[in-house]
Amino acid sequence: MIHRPTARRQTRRTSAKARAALGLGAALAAVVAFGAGCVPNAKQDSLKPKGHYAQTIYNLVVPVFIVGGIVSVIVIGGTLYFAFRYRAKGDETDDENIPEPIHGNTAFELGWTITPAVILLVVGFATVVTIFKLDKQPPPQNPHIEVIGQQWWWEFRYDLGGADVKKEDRKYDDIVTANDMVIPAGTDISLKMTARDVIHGWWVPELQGKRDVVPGRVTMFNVAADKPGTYYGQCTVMCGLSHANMRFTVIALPKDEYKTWLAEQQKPAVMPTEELAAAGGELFKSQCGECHTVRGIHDAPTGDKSPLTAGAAPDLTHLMSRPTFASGTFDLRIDSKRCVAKGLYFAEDQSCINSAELRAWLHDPPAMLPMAAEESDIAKGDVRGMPDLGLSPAALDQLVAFLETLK
Amino acid sequence: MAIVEAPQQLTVPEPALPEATPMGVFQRPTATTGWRSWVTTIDHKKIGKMYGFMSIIFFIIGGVEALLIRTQLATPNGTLLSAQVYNEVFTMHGTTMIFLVVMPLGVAFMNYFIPLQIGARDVAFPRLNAFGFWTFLAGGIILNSSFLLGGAPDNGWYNYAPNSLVVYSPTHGVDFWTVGLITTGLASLVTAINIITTVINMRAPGMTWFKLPVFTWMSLVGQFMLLFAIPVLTAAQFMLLFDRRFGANYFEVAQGADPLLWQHLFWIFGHPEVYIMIMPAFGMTSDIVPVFSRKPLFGYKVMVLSGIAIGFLGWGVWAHHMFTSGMGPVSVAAFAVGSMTIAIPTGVKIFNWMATMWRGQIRFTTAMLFAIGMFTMFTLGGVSGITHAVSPADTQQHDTYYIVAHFHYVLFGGAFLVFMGAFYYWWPKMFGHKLSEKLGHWNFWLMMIGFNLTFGPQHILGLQGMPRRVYTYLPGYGWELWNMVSTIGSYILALSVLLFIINVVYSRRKAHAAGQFTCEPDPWDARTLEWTTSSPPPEFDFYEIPDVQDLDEAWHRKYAEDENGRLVRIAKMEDVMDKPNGKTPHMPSPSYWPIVAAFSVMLIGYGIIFSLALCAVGVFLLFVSTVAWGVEPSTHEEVPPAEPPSPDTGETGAAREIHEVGANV
Repeated sequence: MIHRPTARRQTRRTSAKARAALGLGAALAAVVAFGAGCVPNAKQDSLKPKGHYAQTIYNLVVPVFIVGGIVSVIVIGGTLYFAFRYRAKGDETDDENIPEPIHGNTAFELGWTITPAVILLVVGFATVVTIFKLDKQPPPQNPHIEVIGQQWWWEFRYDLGGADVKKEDRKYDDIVTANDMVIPAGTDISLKMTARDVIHGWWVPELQGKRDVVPGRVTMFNVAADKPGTYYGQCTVMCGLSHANMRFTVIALPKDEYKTWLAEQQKPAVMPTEELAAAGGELFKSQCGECHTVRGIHDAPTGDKSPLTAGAAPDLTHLMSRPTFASGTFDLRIDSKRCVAKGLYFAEDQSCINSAELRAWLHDPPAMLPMAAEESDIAKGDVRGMPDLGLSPAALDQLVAFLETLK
Repeated sequence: MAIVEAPQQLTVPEPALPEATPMGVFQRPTATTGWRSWVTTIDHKKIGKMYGFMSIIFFIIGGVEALLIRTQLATPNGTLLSAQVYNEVFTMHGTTMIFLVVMPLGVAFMNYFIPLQIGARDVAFPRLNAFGFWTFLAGGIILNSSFLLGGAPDNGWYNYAPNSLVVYSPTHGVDFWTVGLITTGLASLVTAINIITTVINMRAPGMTWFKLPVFTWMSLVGQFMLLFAIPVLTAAQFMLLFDRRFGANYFEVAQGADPLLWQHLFWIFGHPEVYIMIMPAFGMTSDIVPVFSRKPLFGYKVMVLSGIAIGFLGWGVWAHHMFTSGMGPVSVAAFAVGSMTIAIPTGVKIFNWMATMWRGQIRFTTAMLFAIGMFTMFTLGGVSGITHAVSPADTQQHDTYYIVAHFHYVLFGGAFLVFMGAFYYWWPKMFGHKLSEKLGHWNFWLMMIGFNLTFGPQHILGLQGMPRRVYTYLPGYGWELWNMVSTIGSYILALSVLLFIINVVYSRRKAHAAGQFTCEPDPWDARTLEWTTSSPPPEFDFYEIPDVQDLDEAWHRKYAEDENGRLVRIAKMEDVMDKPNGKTPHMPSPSYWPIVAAFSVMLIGYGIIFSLALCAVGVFLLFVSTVAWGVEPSTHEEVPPAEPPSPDTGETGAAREIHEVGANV
């Protein structure tokens, strides 16, 4: 039996409180809708897939978002409705109209157990199918790249089968580069990932979900970009002090340009003959050579450096073909339409090289990116990354001139 | 079966014998007022209040850390904090909020209200209860003192190996984290044992399992989970401690260790931990919504069983925190589907709360507003949780602000909102006066607006690619707007917390100025047993251990069906409440030893970090206090028996016996 004076309730005017509640709910819905729909200038956006792996994920999650949105609206809307509809008169209890003590309803309760279960069964099925679809390895003849995370930069190695020299006799992988990973567009790339020190996370949201790179483990992953372009990513696993500055890009080139890039990257560097740059080359060997390699000019000593906190640094053989430096934090290519249009060949035009920031970086790296927890650590030289070498202005000029020849 | 029947009436406890007190210091303290009474108390109500007070203090510390984080991130290239300090601050924010706020705040309410809800005089082991509190405080002090002693932990609350090893985190920060949390873990463990024992053994006659208030039920489930989860964390932390302090190789990759070992251990604890935190909140919502809807909880048994189901399912889903670790498609698929199943019992709870409001007579007290806020906001957190269970989608969300948004909707929107509601709801019972409802409404609305402004935009930020745990970001990623909105929201949130504190002070002054130190036993027309005793309750909770007839015992004393089957009021609570019966139950005396033992644990903790000599002092003191704890008499010998002269309460049954036994454990 239900004792509920419906007539009285219906004639009652909307209370200010209930109106406020409804208003707030509507405002929240509007904010969420606005936020989801209006995404300004995001360049690392998981909601704008640009490769088929990211697209597959996107296609799976959008229906889940919609179903979730409907459930949220039902619960919040229903609650607000009940709150409004069954509100007490004033703040006092009304002993004349005690609500019927409804202890439950098996049919209803079964309903809201089974319905979500069925929905989740469908979602779960789609999820499992997608997991295995995404995990499928590209064919073995497709390019494969080794991804290595290190505090706080990324190394990319291309083992191309190395012409006529047997692998164990070769000194290098065919290409070793850093922070800007070049791939052919429209091709599934196989990534073989690991880390040298702590766990890092490889993530380029427009192309693929993320995958941790774990020291002591090798993880296989796939990536693909539909069209040529630059795609932004960064490390996602807390990896210490400068975790926030461990950015990188994936640069997808048209297939023929990619072939050209491969050929050029395999060439060793040549010691410059121009006086300033040559002096810089000698300086590089003595000052930077402990950690950096420029193939053809200087090899950094190899060997066990574990546990690694520094001591291995990016291969700079073709530095001037990378649009960024210092883990994607600074542009090496001047950010203008003219220079960007030159793509990876920006260094052919001297004015497109961001020499000023490169010079500032060489002058005092810890001032530009955090590499030591305390100021006193920097003084002691206890730096996890590029140290301040105390180079004179003249030395900086020489070094910059040398680096600018590494095209 | 609720209670094991005692074979015979208990004899009057003998006065403490002189030979039981070989040294004066072993006599038990007697203070009932002043700081001494708080330091030595073993009263579950005082301990509950201290838990609540310290949780709020830690909440303020963690809140200031949150404001620092939000201020740093308000604009790109923020310069308020250095990278190192930022890493310390966000690590301590997470650690503080989880281990020193949400967990102990739940325990505060459990401590105070579980004995009252089950009709007991105290918890099973009152001194262990005090030891639990002081050990929790010791852990909190160890953790927070790291800021002053050479650097706080800086590797996130999850402290993934190998970045937690000395070579990558060379300050003592991670040691403070490890030792501090082993200490609070010890506190949690003894408290869990205490609460579980109390609920199982000390329910009043007639209070069968399906007459147990839902708050007690859910707390019991949560404490069982804690009992099994904390040891896993502690084991992992000992491994880390041995790696860092004694050169072990559990997580040293160069020695062949697998860093994923830490992740599995941490999340086998870490996922149940989520339910440990939310369980008491489920219980509070289930207690508050029926009171202010004036209807019984819809589907009580289903609510209890779904809570138990969550308690079991919560153990099988830990690896959903590791979907991106590269553990292989089969495990990912299994854990994805497993994680989804948790949505089913959780959804049942939400729909049952809604159904409880359906056809009710809803009063919008502050407590009710917070309870409604809880389950609506928790729904949003649950729905975003489903989007992580879809593991391919999680690979786009993991370690981003979308996750940050998700767990704040669950832990702040879910747990903390209803903790606020519980303060408003239970305040008159604890302090003898209500909190101002007017300020309470402001408190609620500001908190809802601030909360949604802070964490709502973080969903968008995460999906737009902003990773978490970053001390800065560059302009040009499209993150400027929502970060600014989120920061503004956090200040509104801070304002609402300030308003709560103002409300506490204002309401207390107002009540005391009016000479009001007690209030009516049942100011909300409530349903459960704690409302049948006076507000605040006497030291021994009940003059007479209640004889429980019904689920919602308090309600059924006030209301019954008339001859037409219609519900009518038959009594006021004042007439059917627990009243003085001329007898004063005997309660165990306060004790010095719980706090001394906890202090020695703290010394051992600092000793592990700094000096083994200090460790030895701590061990010695712990030994002394344990022995003293064991041999001290159960009451102070000079305490005159309270009037009437006989300390016998006349109560019968096992509840009394267990109480007497427990009192001296």
